[in-house]
Amino acid sequence: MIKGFYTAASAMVAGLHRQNVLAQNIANLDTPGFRQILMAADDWYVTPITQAKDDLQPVSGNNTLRKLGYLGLGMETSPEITDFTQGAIKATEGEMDFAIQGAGFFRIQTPDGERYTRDGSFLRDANNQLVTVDGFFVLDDNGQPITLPEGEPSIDEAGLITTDGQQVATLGLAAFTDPETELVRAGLNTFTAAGGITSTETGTVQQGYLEMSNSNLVSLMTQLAGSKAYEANQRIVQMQDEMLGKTIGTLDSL
Amino acid sequence: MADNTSPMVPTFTNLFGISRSSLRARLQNLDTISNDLANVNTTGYKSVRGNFQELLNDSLQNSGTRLESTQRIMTQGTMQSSDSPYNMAIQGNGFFAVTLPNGSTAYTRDGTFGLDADRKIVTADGYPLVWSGTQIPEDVESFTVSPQGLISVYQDGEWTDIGTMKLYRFANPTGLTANGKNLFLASDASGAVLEGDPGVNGYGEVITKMVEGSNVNLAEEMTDMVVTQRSYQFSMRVYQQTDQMLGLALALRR
Repeated sequence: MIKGFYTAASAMVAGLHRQNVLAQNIANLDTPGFRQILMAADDWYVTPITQAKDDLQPVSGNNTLRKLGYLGLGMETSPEITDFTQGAIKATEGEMDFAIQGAGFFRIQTPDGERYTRDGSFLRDANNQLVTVDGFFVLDDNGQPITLPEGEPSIDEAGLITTDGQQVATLGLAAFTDPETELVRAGLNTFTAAGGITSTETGTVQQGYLEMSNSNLVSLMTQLAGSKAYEANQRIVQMQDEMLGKTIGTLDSL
Repeated sequence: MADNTSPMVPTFTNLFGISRSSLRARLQNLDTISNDLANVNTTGYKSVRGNFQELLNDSLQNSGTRLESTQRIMTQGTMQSSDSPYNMAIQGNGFFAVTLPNGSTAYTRDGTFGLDADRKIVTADGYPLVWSGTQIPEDVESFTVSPQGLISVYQDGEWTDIGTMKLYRFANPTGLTANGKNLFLASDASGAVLEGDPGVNGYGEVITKMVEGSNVNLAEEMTDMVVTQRSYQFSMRVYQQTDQMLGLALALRR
């Protein structure tokens, strides 16, 4: 009975974790370049259950206990996974708005080192450098900040920036063979990669577009409805508690 | 169990914090949309875009999202013809400069100028335009400004040049500080002011008997408003559901 109590309680803890991820995904529905968090639930520990009954078939080599199967002792949430599939591309017509079609990331320089982002809402700063909305430098293919000359920049699919026909720089794009394991979520729409860039399959850049969140709205709605499971588990915990109370009460009166 | 160093520590406090950050960011974004909609007919108005960012923080209440910055979209507004020769519009980049009562200089795209009692060229709010002269001579029959900024008056049967006007640019016009009344002030983010002759070196041309309308795109703003309201509603649902979950957890033991 105590086993069942902790099983249901572990499901409540996991339910809270799930709600946390859901809230984060919903909060960032309008965040450019946001990659949704996926979460899976796992069986936690399992224990074999046995039954000591003479009239049942004995398990070979053991005459008193019969193996009935396994009992789950609860659930846990496996580590969060980031979903790196392409998000919706929104036309903004902003000359400093860029979207990547494909698996690449923009390289940006932050005080904490190089970061990678899919959020291409850039600006020209007071010193004519290409920066993110936080003022971090956007890097070129050599890892250097990009200084824009006077005039309106245009960019081709490979990331080559030109102003008035003059080549300025090539946007630095990073790609990863296995982004799910190589990249770590770092906030402010960025990711870090301890191992550096591992792939050249960057995709193409489009000017005047922004990539929005890749959260799946329908799936989020469904998950929101799925929170009823929390209530069910709460009931189970309560029932286990009542049963325990009754047992103790009965034993007491004997 | 889930990695303890994971920033997404499942607690009710964190959960409420995520939803709260989302609701707050949505309200702020709605404010910028409302302001854009209110200025759909304001001459020289430039629309504002909110930039959302994902927040991820170990300090429990700071995950979620935020409106990192608002960014002015400096695209050209639609040209509207006007009868007054003192009305001007800029086709291209640049701002008119006007002198504020405290002696400092402000910049505007709103070219609804007129003459005041002292025969100065002033904005609708009475701030004088910066040009090489100060007053327009008396008894002028007509007034015009060439696309290159040459100011001429028609008097006694002939055109006389009485001065020139310049236009002003910034490395990052999106970083200008809004001062109300369609006026902008230079800031650290915008960079120092650059002065130039209209029609050359990337400065726009001056067109008289025209005013530049607002660049607010009504359909886009309405769409953004609907999306923002829905995202708000969605986050509110998560918030309510978290509240119910907390209630259930508290009800475990009555």
